[in-house]
Amino acid sequence: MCWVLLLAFMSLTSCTAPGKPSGTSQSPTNVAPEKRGAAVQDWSKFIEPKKAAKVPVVLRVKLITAEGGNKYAFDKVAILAVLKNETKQPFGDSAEVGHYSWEPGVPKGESTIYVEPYSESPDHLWKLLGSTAKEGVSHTKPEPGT
Amino acid sequence: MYYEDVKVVAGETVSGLAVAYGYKAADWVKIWNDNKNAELVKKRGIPNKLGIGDVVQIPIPWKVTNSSVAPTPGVGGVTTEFKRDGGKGTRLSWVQTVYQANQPVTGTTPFCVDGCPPDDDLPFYWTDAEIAADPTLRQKFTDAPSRTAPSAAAGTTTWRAVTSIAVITGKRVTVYESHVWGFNLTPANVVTKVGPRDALANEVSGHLNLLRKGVGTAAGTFSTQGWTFRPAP
Repeated sequence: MCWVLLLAFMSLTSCTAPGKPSGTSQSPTNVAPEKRGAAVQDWSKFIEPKKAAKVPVVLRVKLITAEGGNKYAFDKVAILAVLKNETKQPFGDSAEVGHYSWEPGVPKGESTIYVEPYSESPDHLWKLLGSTAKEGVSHTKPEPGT
Repeated sequence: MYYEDVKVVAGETVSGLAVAYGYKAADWVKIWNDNKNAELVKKRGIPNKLGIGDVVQIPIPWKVTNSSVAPTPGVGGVTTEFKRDGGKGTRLSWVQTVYQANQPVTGTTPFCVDGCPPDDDLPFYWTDAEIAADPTLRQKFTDAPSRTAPSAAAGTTTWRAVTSIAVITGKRVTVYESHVWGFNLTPANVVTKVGPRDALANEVSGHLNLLRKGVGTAAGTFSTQGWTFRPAP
């Protein structure tokens, strides 16, 4: 009886919370964004297929800072999940994304961004689809109080 | 106004050149009958006998007709617009050089040719793709540079630009109608607009030097790639 209770206890303590596979307790920097995203929730609810079809990369992000710029302004974002990546470029925890300086960029809070190469350079930066949030952003979730 | 000397290559016509430099096709007569072309007219008689190597003097009368600079609400910067008269003209565009002071965009130098960072391998503000999508960009210029408030130690950010109409003949770019504009941004996040005003001779000279030393996405400077830049003669 004692052994049965002990095994049941061990089973409970080694179990992960529902919807939170093992690995999510690691520091975010140690977890690939793709896995992090999949671990959090069903990101397919946060993507607009028509926009996604136009770009090689779709990210779920949270704005860190709008840094300004020249012709292009750049927004620093924390990457919450990589929803699509048809490139060989890996994405880490954050990225800088350009947009025309006279057009809206990544909004405050969480959003899905659709990005395309900034230029044809092999080590190019990224910019919003159409260089504007009007085309390159969907599923925004403003921060409380913003 | 100034005259752009254009050496004729195979297949070019006076009406085709007129359109390329911002005229209506029917305005070829204005170019042909211009006194500067009297010798050519005497030599060829009629415009459709234009020969390879002939030099046509094309008057470039276009001017910036609207210019504005105003603080961008809620942002540490300004929004500017320039518009010029004349047609779209496939050989007309814009160039801009900027001084980013104590806040250059990551990976760029304080002085640079805008797009900065470069978004293509050409020295012009609008890329070919942008103009293909909206040909009216040849007639108008828009920008809205901004920065975050500088630290007290860094001091006021003094962002400046020189923006010009660019007339493109082969790889020779003639800049004219150059305007200076920009903004000052204090550590207290106070924006003061600068300009627009006509560029002084030394500012145009600096603008041309930056264009020569400027870089795009291809290797080397625009100069080493064969581009030349000059003020309107």
